[in-house]
Amino acid sequence: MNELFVKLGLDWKLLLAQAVNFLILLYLLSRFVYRPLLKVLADRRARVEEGFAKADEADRRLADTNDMVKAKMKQAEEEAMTMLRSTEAKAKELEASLMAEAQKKQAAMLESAERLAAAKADEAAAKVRAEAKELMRNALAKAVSMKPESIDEALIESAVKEMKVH
Amino acid sequence: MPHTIAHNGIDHSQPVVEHASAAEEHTAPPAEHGASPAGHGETGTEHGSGIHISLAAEKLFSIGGFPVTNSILMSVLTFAVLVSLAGFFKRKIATLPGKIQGIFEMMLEALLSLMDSILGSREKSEKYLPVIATIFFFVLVSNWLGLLPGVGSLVWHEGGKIIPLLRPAAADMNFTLALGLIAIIGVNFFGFMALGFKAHASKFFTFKNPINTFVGLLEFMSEFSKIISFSFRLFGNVFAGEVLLTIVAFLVPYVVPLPFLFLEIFVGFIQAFVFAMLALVFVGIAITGHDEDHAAEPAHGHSH
Repeated sequence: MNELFVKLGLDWKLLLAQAVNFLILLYLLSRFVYRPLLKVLADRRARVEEGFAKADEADRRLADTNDMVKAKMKQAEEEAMTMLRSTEAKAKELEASLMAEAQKKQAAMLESAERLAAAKADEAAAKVRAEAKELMRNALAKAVSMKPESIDEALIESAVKEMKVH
Repeated sequence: MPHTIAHNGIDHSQPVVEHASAAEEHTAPPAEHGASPAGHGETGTEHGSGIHISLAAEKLFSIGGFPVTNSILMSVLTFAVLVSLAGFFKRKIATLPGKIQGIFEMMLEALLSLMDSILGSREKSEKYLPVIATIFFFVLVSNWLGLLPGVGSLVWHEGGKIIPLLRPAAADMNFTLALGLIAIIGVNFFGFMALGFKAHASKFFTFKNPINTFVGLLEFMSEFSKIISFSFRLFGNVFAGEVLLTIVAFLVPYVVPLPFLFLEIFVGFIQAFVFAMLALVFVGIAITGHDEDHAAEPAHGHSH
């Protein structure tokens, strides 16, 4: 066995040196190459995943915003239509009420005009009656103060005069 | 055919350069050796010297009793290259990747998705990535650096011998055995961490019934065989590639070695991949509970 070791050149010092050589290399490469590189790869993967996630989020938000805009537009249209309809209805109501009021006023004015006209007519009639009454009294007073024969004549004349005056 | 190859392709003797003088070997023209970059022997075709092949890595010098071999030099060089690249790369890391980072990220993503298919989740893949990826890159870069011109052709004089200055790291059992040991110790460590000591240990030591006890012991033994198979597979492939390139470059120095070089580039990748994938599969099995173990059976079967 020992001869085999000698022939193969096996020497524990060299074996240990080679092992130490490898272990130092393992440490250095791990420290300066593998770990930084794996970290860079992991960071890049994380960033790419983050980018994708953000893009998805942006798409989702855009879609949400579009939906929201559409919903708002629809709502606004509906509100506008409702407002328009209610305004129309109110306008009609207002028109009707105004019409009714106007008719009522018209009727009231008509009635008051009629009443006024009637009152005027009554007043005029009363005045005519009062004047006729006065005329008759005056005529009677004159007739009493004249001769009976001339009374008739005078009455007739005065009556005629009076008639002419009026 | 030189005598060192004629017997079994391996020179069992201590590295010896025959015939050619040290000066002649040292000053051999670059073109000749450039054609056999992986060959760590001296082909010395001009001077009629034999091929120098040593199964063991050769000692260049000692530092305080520590033998510095040509193979560990290469291992340190690989380490330096990878650390320099890491240092350069670290400054360039950004969330928006440049070209280099893009390529590296692509490789890492491919490795991670492969790991996902075996481990079942990205979280686990990221947890075990450093070990698997380091094994892969360390073996890959050391294999490919071993194919560069200069490896095997640059020489070092030590005690009258001429020794190649650089030798592919995986052409040394110390390197492959160290990696195998780390891989299997790491696999069991991950098993303990994932399942708990008792659950993981019960895979090997159980006394529920004699059959399970026996199977558990076999599993325990197989852990050692995994170390051996790990280390010998890598060592065998890389060393065989070295020998192949050395011989081909010795026989025909120009053009002919090129397809073999391409083959070795491919083998270098495949061996790194196999080593890392086996370690990954073993980790996958180790972190899976005993009840789920049967689901991982095909993968386990494949690993052998």
